[in-house]
Amino acid sequence: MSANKSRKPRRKGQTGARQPGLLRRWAGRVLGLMLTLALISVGLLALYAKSLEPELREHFEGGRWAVPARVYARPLELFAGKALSPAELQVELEELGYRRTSSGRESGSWSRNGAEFHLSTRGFNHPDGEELPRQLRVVFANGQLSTLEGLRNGEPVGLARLEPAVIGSLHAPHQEDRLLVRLDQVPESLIAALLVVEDRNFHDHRGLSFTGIARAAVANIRAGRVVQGGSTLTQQLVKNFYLTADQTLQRKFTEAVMALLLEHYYEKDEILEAYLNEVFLGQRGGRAIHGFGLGAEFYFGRPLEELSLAQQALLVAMVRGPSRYNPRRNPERARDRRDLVLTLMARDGIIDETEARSAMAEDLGLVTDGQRHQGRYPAFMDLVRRHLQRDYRREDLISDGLHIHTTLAPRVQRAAEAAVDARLAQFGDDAPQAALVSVNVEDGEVVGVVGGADYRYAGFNRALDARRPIGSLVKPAVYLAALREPSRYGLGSVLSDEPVTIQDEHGDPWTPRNYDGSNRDQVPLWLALSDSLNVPTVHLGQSLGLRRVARSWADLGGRVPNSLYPSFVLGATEHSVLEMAQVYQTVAAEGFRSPLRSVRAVTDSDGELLSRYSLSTEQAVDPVSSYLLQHALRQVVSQGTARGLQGWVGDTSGLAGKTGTTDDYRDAWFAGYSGDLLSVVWIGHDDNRSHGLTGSSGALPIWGEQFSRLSYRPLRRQTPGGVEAVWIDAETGKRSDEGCEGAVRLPYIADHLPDETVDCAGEPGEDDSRGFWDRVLGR
Amino acid sequence: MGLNARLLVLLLPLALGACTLMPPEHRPTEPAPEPEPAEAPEPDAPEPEVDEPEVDEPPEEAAEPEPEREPAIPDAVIELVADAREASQNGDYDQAAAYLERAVRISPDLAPLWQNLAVVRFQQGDYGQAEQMARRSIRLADGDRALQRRNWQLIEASRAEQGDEEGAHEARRQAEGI
Repeated sequence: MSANKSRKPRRKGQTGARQPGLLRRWAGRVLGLMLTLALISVGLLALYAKSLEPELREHFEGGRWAVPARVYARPLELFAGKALSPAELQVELEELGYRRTSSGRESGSWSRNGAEFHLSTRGFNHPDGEELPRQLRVVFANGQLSTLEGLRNGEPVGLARLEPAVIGSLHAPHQEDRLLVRLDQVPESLIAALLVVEDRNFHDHRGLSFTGIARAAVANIRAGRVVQGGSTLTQQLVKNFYLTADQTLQRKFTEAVMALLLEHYYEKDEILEAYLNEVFLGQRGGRAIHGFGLGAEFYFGRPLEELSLAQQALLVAMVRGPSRYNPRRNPERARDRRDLVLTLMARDGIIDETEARSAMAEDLGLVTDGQRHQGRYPAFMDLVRRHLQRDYRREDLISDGLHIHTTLAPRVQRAAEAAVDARLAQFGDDAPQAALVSVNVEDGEVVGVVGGADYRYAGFNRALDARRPIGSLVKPAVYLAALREPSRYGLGSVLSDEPVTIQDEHGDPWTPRNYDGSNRDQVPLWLALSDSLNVPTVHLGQSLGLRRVARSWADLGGRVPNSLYPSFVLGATEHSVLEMAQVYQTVAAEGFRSPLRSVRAVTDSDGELLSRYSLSTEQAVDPVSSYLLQHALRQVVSQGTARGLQGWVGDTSGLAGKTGTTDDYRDAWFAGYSGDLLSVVWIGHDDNRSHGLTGSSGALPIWGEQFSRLSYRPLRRQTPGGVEAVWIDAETGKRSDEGCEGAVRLPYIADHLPDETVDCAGEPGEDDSRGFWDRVLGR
Repeated sequence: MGLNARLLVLLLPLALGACTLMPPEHRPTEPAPEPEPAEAPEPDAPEPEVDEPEVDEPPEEAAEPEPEREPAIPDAVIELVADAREASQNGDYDQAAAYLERAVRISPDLAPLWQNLAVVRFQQGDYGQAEQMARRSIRLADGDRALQRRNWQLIEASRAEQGDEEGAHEARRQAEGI
């Protein structure tokens, strides 16, 4: 086009001269030649422009930007009756970056007065259903959320959700990041400010602005240095696409052609929207912050729609030089330029003088780090990445702008981290490592993962990758194998506790010992489990056969070793914390095994569902055996090896679990659960040194500390059909009666009650094992 | 199972309807594109017990076995179930399942929720999970014979869909034995 324009007047001049004969012929030839040349150059230019077109389109259509996937926690559900404390709600609100204000009536803010919260949620789209923004009054009483109602009308609200917190993004080591916004999501005042400062004639020019260049030149000459650029937004956008500092003439020419092409092919609004998302606004480590959407989050910790005038002006101010006007590093300079932007806005009538003055009085309103969620939960993100690898290519994850909706529950994760911190601090300099996995009992959703003592560090993920001997954590499989044979075993069946020596895998004699080193003659089955006695467990394993035990182990979700040795029943095999969480999920859900999940759904950048990972379950163990096993595991907590939990959480009647300790105190484990939440904790040294702690003294306190910070539902299970509670004599395993000496009430399958009944002795007898039985019988 | 829970069952006969209760050979090969209305009368289908509102008179069987606890149904669950029903009626079973999963997270001990999830899985064509969800419902439905029977009927239909005739017969025996 420009070539055409420059030739026109000349041609006009030539044709205007009237000369006869030869001259005319020559003139004709020259004219022809020039026309040809003109046509050729127009053609070449067109070809050149055409050659740039695909590149241009690539930026504008389809995968315009490589946008890393954004990863979200689960949204917190609020309803009357939910087990939740004010402190936990506050953790979730902080995770979301909600501001604490006096009224809690602005979107994304909250206020608290004792046990009463006012808060205004943002609303969101989620594959589990859409949520509208709401203003809520939330009251807590008796350890739960007791009232949920509309803040304005006081009408009860059945169910509301806080939006899911962003917990990270899946990006390559050095990559641009952005949070795409649509034009209609950008405040009009921000756009107006941007145009006033950067490109006044945006709506009138066709890509290049000569008046803009002239004005910039005048301003630069006056100032004696470059204070204004003459580039239009369109040119700036093109320049950004190439991200090159190369400022040769040819470069500038190409940019100019592309700017013209852009304007030719696309609407002003499309160009503006692209600019708003493209503009470079700062750097965080290896991630380049692009676009106003991410800029708002990065600097102010809130969505673009919620920015104040002053904050909008600051973002516009930074466009000219994100480093020079970086408000964190150069607050004075950034503030001056922000105020200049506000002045220009007022001069142009975008805002009035009063608004400008009050905006100038505002401080910069920065958050310390609006991207603090980046890399915050590396161990959990690791799990998410592994999950997604099954169905998604890495390129798509780091470039398609996907939304990953995970199962992480920030309140549970944060309680786990605080517990690890607090407990490991007790060790001083020689603290062991720790790992923890928390899971929803009913559906297998992983709600928290701690991969090591330094849980912010994305290093070795012990929760997933450290395989360590599990000790007594295996025992529920042994006792389950027994309870699955109700004609042979019930909870009250007596097992031998006499010393035993058998051959180990090398053919050497092996003499397992109880933890306290002593032996009784016989112990009831439930007690052998709750006190984690090794000798009766080995006897039981021998009489059941290792293959039966292994089958139960596999049914619970445990990995079975290729070769089985007698020491298998004492937990010689090595497993990760995550594997143990799967096994105990099955135990806790009464035999319904749900594969552990860390992702609920993936949507594309427009929120369209791509995949859903829904709840699945399999009845791996029958309800009756599961129920009986669970009864014994509750005894572990109420009077067995985990009775110390009471010191952490008070009432332990709704909890169950199992401790584990390995040889020479190298590994300590605790797996415990309530009705809704399960955590498995491991501690040990990476180099396998002994730390001198048992499951009870080392791992249990972390569990206790975590649960003491959480609200949870106690375990309440319906007694399955065909099961009844009967009185069993603890020493003989025979039937007894209420009030009889040594009688313990145990759930039994009605069709498999012991045949014999003991004589009822009403008074406690005297014998040498008195102390032991006193504790067993809770006297 | 208390009054509340009964109402919940009544609230959502999630269009189990025709397909499931018909013998396999009479079933359409493709799942019906449109969801049946919630209470589609089906000539050869057994009378659906759930639709009898046993609210006024207690069930025949003497003394409900151990009313250990009365699961109060939170309004949140009622809302989600209503959403699930609507989604199901629009043929959006994925969405219906998502609502029900949320409901289950809130009240995991509520047998009818698992039953509904079982129905939705069936509608999605996931017969394996339909059976598993029904089993979970049965585990929790102690004392609610009607719900147990419904679950066994669903298991029967799921097994039949998978070509497991023997298993289907066994499930029918279970249903009839209740």
